[in-house]
Amino acid sequence: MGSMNLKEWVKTLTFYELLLGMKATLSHLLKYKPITLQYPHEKKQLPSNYRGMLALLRYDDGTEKCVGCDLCEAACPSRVIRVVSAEVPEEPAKRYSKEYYMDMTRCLFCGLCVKACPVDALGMTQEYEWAVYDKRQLHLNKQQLLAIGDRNFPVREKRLEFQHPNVAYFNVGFKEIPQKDVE
Amino acid sequence: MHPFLEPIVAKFPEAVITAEQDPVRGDLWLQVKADCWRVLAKFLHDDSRLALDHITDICSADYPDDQDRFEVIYQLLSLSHGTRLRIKARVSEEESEIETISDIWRGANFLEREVYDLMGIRFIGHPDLRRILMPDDYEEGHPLRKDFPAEGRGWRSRFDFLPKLDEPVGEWSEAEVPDDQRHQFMADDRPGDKKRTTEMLLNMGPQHPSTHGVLRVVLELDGERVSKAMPDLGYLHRGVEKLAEGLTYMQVLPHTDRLDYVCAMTNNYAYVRAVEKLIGMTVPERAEYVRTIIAEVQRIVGHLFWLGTQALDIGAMTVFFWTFREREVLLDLFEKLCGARLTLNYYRIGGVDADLTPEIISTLREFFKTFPDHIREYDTLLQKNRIWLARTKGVAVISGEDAINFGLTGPVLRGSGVAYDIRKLEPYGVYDRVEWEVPLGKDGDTYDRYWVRMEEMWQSVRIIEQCLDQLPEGPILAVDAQVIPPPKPEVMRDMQSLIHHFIIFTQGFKPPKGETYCGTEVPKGELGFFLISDGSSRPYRLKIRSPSFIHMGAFDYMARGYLISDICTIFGTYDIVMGECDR
Repeated sequence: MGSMNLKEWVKTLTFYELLLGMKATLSHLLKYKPITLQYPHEKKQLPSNYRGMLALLRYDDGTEKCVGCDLCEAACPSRVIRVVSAEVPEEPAKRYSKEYYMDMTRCLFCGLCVKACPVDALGMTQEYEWAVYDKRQLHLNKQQLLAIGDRNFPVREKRLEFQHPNVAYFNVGFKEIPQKDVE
Repeated sequence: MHPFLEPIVAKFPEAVITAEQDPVRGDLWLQVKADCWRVLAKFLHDDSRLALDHITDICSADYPDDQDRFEVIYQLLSLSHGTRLRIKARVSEEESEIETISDIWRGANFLEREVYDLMGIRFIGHPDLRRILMPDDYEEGHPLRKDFPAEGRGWRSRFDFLPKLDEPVGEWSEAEVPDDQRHQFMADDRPGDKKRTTEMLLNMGPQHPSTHGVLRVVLELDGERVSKAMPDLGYLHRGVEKLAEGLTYMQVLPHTDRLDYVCAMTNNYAYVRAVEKLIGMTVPERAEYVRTIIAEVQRIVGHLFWLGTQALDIGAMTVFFWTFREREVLLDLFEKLCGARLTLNYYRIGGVDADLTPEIISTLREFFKTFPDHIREYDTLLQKNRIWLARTKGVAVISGEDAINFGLTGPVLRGSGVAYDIRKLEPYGVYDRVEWEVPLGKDGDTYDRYWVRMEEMWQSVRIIEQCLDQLPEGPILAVDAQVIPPPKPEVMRDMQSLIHHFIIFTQGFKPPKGETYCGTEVPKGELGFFLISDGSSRPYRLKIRSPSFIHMGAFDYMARGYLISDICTIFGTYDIVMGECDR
């Protein structure tokens, strides 16, 4: 039995390693620095690419972006979306979504629908407080989705045909086709 | 013919129908006759030229139009040669029987039960052939057969056994069992015998805080010692494999997040790697670096979660709060990167979704400055703590040979001193371009597995720091108009991009006919995806080899002889997540 063993024995009898652990926890008590948020009173700053509640968007003149192409419905892995598209009454070559439903009880928030939309008519907001007492309240229609978009995206894009000269020739339904810049 | 296959064909010329190497993907596979399978399996396991000692997976596929309808597919691995071999055997619908191999590879026990449960193939000589994922009394057939409907039967209210949402709660009619008829779970006190001799059954779970989800274990107890442990899985079975057969390859990706929800990034990685191997796609260099960095960050997150919960199971509560403090920083980083914290859906087929911004890189570097101090802090609480040592040293010991035989992977295998890490054996990402080591345990007890995981965190830090230094510039997504959707700004400006965009999102891409297995090292072990493509845009069969499920196969072996309180330790040491185990 060497002196090393005596030291070990003293450490064992005095609960040395437990005391070290206690010291670590107590030092945290003294240097108390809260890292938790008092949630309903304090809220986190969410990043701009946060994948929260889905919303339908509008152009800056108030018209809906959605052209009723059904791509979001096809892309959705859990069949959240149902689109009923129709022709715009006065402009037969132009389509829009007559009805648009989202069953948010099944949504995975994967963002594939946003990726799929060719006209960026869908957006993911930073809303996450969507707990409800009745699940049926999560079955959203077009008006509700547009309202979510209106309150989350105050800055709206210009109509597609005014964004870039190239885009207009896809949609012959536009009445005034802006001319391409000829150099 | 590949030299590895020659001894098999020479020894069993009539049993082997075809022996080939996949020219594109390099997988070795054999088609064998089902009635010769057992003899062949013994040879594969015992012969030193093959030494296929590790059972990776057993999968089944259903081809209703073929003469022999079912195919049983075995994935074997030789740890000494580092070679994988796939063996396929056909069985007909009338017989649908094949001999068991659960006594050659004990890990096959659970895997064969799964095949029986989901495909209805019986294994002759299996010791305990019962359903495993579906309920015991499930009478509606075998879900993975192609004639089983992929759709559910509709809205919740149509199931008559579920309580209706809009109906008042009915009165409970059945009276409780009278006391005298109640079965007493008590040993008989025999006169003159102080020791209790009968055994007691204890039902642990499915709602038990230490089972990490909904896992039920029936324990046969002799006093406080466990004499047999019977895991009852399937409480979280969602049928992801069946679900995937109705989704395009791109749509399966968000569903893989939900397998091991603690480490969603690595699940994504495992899946996209399997698909990329199937279609033979190469990924840009920067994307490979980003993938490796993020996968290692996820490994740290996973191990922090494991450390906190394992310590909590054993009784050390402080560690849990401290590890979650660090985990929070990394989850915030994920949130900045891809907009979600837990179900991330970040990896894409052919690259990643978003690039690492300088802000994220600086946050990571900042984190690694303080992280070593935090690990030392956990060590002061645990490493020498006599309670921790008493609860982990010599608990749930498994030798290296047994661990291989049970098909264990990941830190559970490496804790027993077996140097099997897919990142070293079949390097992917940029793991072969950075320096790191595989930490190995010696005794195969809970303490060694704890040590291995702590060391892996250090190694992950090493890998990430080197990757950040080497990080090249470049694109983060491959360009392949047939497979990857074109970038968004091009979609509305270029007719061809718009057409590809529509085709990819409506129909999905169509990989060539073929099949492949691809395993990835995730924090829990080897997560493998086995894909069969019939040339259509949806997987014909997708099999998930989940490490938690296979680790549960060794649970009975590892729990025998230990105390009830050690059961929680064993759950913790597997780092089990039921979302992945039950799929």
